[in-house]
Amino acid sequence: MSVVGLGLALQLLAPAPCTDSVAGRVVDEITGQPVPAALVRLGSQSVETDATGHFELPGVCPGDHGLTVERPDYQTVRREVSVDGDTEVDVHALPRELEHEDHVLVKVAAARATETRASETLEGEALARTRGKGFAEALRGVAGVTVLRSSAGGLGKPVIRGQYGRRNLLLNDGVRHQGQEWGIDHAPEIDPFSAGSITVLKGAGSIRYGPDAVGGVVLVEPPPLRRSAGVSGQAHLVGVSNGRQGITALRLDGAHAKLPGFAWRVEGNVARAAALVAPDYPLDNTGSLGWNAGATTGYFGKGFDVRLSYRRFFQKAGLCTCLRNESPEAFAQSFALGAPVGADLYTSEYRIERAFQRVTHDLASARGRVAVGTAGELTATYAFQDNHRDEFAVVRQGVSGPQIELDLRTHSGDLAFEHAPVPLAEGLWLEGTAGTTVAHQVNAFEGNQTLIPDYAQWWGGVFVLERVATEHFEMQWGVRYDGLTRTSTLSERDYLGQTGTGRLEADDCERTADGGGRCRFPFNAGSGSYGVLVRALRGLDVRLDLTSAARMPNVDEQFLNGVAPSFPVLGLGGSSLGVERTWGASLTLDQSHRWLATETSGFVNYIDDYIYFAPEPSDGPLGLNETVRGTYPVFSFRPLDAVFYGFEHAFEISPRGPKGGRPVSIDGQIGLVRARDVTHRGFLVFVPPGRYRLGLTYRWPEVWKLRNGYVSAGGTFVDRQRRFELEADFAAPPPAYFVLGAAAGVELPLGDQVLALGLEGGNLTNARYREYTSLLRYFADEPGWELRLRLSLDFAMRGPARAGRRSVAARARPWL
Amino acid sequence: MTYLAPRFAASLRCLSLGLAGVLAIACTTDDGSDGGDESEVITTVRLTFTPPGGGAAVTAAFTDPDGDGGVSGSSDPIALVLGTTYDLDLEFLDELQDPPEDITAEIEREAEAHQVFITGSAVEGPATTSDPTAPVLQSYADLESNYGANEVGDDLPVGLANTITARTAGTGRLTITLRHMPELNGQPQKTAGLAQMLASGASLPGQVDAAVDFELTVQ
Repeated sequence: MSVVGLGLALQLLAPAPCTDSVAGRVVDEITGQPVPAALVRLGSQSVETDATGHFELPGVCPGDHGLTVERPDYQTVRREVSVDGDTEVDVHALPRELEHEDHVLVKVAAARATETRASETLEGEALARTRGKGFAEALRGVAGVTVLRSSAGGLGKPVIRGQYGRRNLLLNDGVRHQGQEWGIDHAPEIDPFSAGSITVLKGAGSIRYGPDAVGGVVLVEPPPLRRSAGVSGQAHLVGVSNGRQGITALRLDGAHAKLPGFAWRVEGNVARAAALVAPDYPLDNTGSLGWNAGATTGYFGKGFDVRLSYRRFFQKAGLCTCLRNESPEAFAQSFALGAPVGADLYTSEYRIERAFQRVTHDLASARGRVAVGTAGELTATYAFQDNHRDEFAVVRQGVSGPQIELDLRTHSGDLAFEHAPVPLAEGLWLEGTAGTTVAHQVNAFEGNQTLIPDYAQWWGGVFVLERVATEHFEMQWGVRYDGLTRTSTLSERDYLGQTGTGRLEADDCERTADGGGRCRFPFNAGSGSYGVLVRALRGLDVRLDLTSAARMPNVDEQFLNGVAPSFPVLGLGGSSLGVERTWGASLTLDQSHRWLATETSGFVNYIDDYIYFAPEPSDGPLGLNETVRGTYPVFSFRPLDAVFYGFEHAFEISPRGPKGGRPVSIDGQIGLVRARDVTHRGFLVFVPPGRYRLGLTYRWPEVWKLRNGYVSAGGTFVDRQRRFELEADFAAPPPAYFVLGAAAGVELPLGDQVLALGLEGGNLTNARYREYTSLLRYFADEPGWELRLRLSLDFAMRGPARAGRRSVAARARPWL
Repeated sequence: MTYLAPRFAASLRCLSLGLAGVLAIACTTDDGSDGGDESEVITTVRLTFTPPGGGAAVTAAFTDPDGDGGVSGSSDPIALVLGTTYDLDLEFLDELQDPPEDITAEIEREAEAHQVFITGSAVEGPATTSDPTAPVLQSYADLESNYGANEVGDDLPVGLANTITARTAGTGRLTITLRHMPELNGQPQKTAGLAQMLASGASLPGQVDAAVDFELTVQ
């Protein structure tokens, strides 16, 4: 469901005949759900919102109008709307049961900073439908986003515009997520239940948040804390047939009249799954167990607010038995079989045996915001993250612990000053933010073999981001500078191995007392961006973004030295690697007609010194390595010049029904990415193939008390990747596939609560397929059909009737 | 699952500290029990060919002293005397440890989950196709019951002890593959006839713990 073109700033006054329209959407302030059947009045006209909360009023004269939105169970919203051309309005309505004394709380959607890149936000109903899915899986519905599936049950990482892992920036509650992202089996440790909205910004560069955004940025924002007295919350119960998964989640939000300004939240969820089942056999040992817990407390004062938050992510996930350590010959032989060896012994059980991963991720953050007179506001954030990962291999019985243990600890401080808008001329404003970030990170590795060294690093950055906005035109530019110094400590064996094979210069390191080496590498890089948004015609926005973004090499890219589990390849780093520089351009067209909304975005990224993991020439000095498990080909990280280009297109056709509303809609998506190795005139691996989706939704009118009912069906066709280099991979890409899905849902109001039911079917034809961007593809088929039943309860308990203080709404920010 | 309880307790402790505003550093998650450095590495495969009635044994080893990565491993050539029948004993060592750890004892203890397969152009044996010109003839000289009670299934060969007959002069490759085949969902993965399956070109279950090549000459 693309929410196209909402949340735009209102347009300003200009004389014209009365042919304009005012259209928009009314959503629930607390839940983000659409509010249907609300009466929208503008001057003498009125209309009711449809099932999706949308409304449209044609024939409006340019000028200022009073807009009211009424529904018996919601606070009446009154707003001034300036109409010039077709105008979009985004209304947040507060449920009446949350009424706080006699005031009327109207939150005008905070005007977001101009986004000159293609972006899509999952919230409200679209987000609710993903409840119970993994983080990456939840993003799969966004055009241009695919998933790099891990071989462990249900885990994966998002692929944005062909980039995954370290080339996407993940911000969890405004804090840069820091996990072990170097392994392709390392899924981001983010709890999707904690999100009130998930936004994907597609395209390179992030002036605000720093390096690494080559593919894009994912912003996971928690829902706002309560501002009025009372307790509210959400409970979810999800059951999935495949893997007999059960997921339960609870969130409680509260604020008390006796403690004005204070708000709290506690949340937690537990998920358990047995091994998933592919059409022909169970994916043995892919069961998983995970839980999340978190608590947040905030205080809203006069001119300032503070918030403290802590959350923990835990996951234990089995790796498919089908992943086996093999000699290169046996690996190729097993792949040719088309099914795992010994699959007749495979079962789907909850028990998790070796091999498995066990990960905890702790995130503690403190944030304060204060108004600096009328000059602007200052936001300070401190965060600590501890990412602890244990990996257990299949071993003989005498061994009990993990074979790999990694602990990554990051302290980060972030300071940003947003200056108040400065009027430059009539209708022309200058807005902007400047800030700085400092972070310290320590990674400790323990394993029985060399893999990556321990390191400590300091990272700092400064940025300025400014924009001017006029009626039909917005422009934004920013510059950023980052410096990073990483000191890696190699064990003696590692140090001698790396200097002995000429991949590390002895001059770059100082020897440690135990014979190892301490190697310090500094990196510096500037970034810049320039973006323009033009409201070209009625309902047509054009966005152009030009960017130059940097990414510093990760520790594995510098010093990897070992064999990846389950793959017959020896991986080596390159200590001489420098900063990877992306030059990106993207053009996005947003079009919103009366019954058709589209978003089309094209991009080109030229990546200078793209750090790529590719095979060494087999006749070269490092080409082959004799290991105890056979002669392995050697892959190493080397720089090459690469170009990524492609486009995404999403559309929704929703004609008006005979009785009003928009009962039937058709939506579709196309995502295409192409990548070229410019240096060697070849292709790159793991670039997602073309993906096409088409869906049909019917929203039925309110029957009895059942509302927001829908039924939908859709299919996804994923092409075969035809552009590949077999030498840089272990097997040819799998064939194209088609999967069919269907969903239905309805809401039932029960007094102050709303019960939502959803039923979703995935891979309904039980298609047997392998996915090019899945690690499983070398070993086994993807999971077969599943049914997913979702029960969600939104509940609110009235606060004490005694008068509290009035809430301060005007300065509300997404994270509050 | 035993780790879950203390970890959850640690998270609650951390949570309360977080709420008290004492963030970060207090929230460590070390649990000393894990170690994280459990050895399960084979760096050395040692072959000892002992002629009958004594005489000088022929030894050869594959070693990768720095483990995976770094410097490539290498193997010694093997030279056998034509017409001699040898007892071949295999040893698997972890020389990253000081003193080196003998993994052979572990394999013997889990004989029902391990089997060595000997293949290559120099060999004719149970795991190869028939090749009368191959320099040596190999046969298994041990059974699971030699190393402990045979509790599951048939009493199958393990391959830590073999009989090698140097029958034709020539040079070829000798490949030693050690497969670890623990029970899967209560069913043995090591079953009768695996060597014959390998000879016929089928894939075997379990995983490879070692697969090393030697150059073997019979003269």
